[in-house]
Amino acid sequence: MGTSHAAPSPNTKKWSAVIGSLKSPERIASTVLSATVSAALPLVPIGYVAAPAVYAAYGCFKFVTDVQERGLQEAIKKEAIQISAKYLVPSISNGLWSLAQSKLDPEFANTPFGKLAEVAFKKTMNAILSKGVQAMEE
Amino acid sequence: MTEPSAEQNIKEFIAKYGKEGFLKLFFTNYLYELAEYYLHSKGKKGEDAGLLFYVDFKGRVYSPQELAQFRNELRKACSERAVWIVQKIRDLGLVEQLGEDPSANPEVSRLLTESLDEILKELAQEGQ
Repeated sequence: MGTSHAAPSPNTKKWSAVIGSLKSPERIASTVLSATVSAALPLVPIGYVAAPAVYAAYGCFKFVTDVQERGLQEAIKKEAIQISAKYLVPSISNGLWSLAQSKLDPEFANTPFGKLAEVAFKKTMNAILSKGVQAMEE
Repeated sequence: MTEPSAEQNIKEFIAKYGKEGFLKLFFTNYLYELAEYYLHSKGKKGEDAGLLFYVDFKGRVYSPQELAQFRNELRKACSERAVWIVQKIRDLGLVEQLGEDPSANPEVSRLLTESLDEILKELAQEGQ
């Protein structure tokens, strides 16, 4: 099932609730998520979720402001983002994350939680750039 | 996808949902990735989330359709919690401050990071 390289499960009482929610005859996604968030977030060191989120938001907000004021082409030039005509959207998202990451303390960026922020940021920007208002309906 | 289309998409998205729209999508995606990360972790026999994600309480393997539906419901649940997070950020008046360069404003960066940590701690405690 592709779990051979998976991280070890937390060994806490709260994690037992996650296992219970997964084993439930009527598995409910919202219950599974609540249990997972309650078990997982307290294990994340302070700042490891928030710091990448702050830099991701700044990177997006700044780019959006530039696009509104100067247009996409100028916004890309201003940030010196390397774009690929064939993969326009992913290359913009990738470039924006690289900019955000370059300012972020490596202590936060080079962790599994930094990687989760990277994936979340790129998925968000890819959706907005390729789908516009439809991105919210995913 | 062309540059004019991408530009139109980003402008229309911001016109309709504002910067908070980005935050909602970002936290939806973050919570979803966090859940997938932990729900694929490896535990001892009988308590292996990475296996239980795919197999029900009777040992039957979920069908691709059932897994897709579960993932859709999981994402919807993440979206609901993201709305809650963004509401908290808005209530604290932090949306505009997220537009300030955190590397150039250490105090703002610290305030935002600490506030977000508190919001996430509350999310974990409440379960929402």
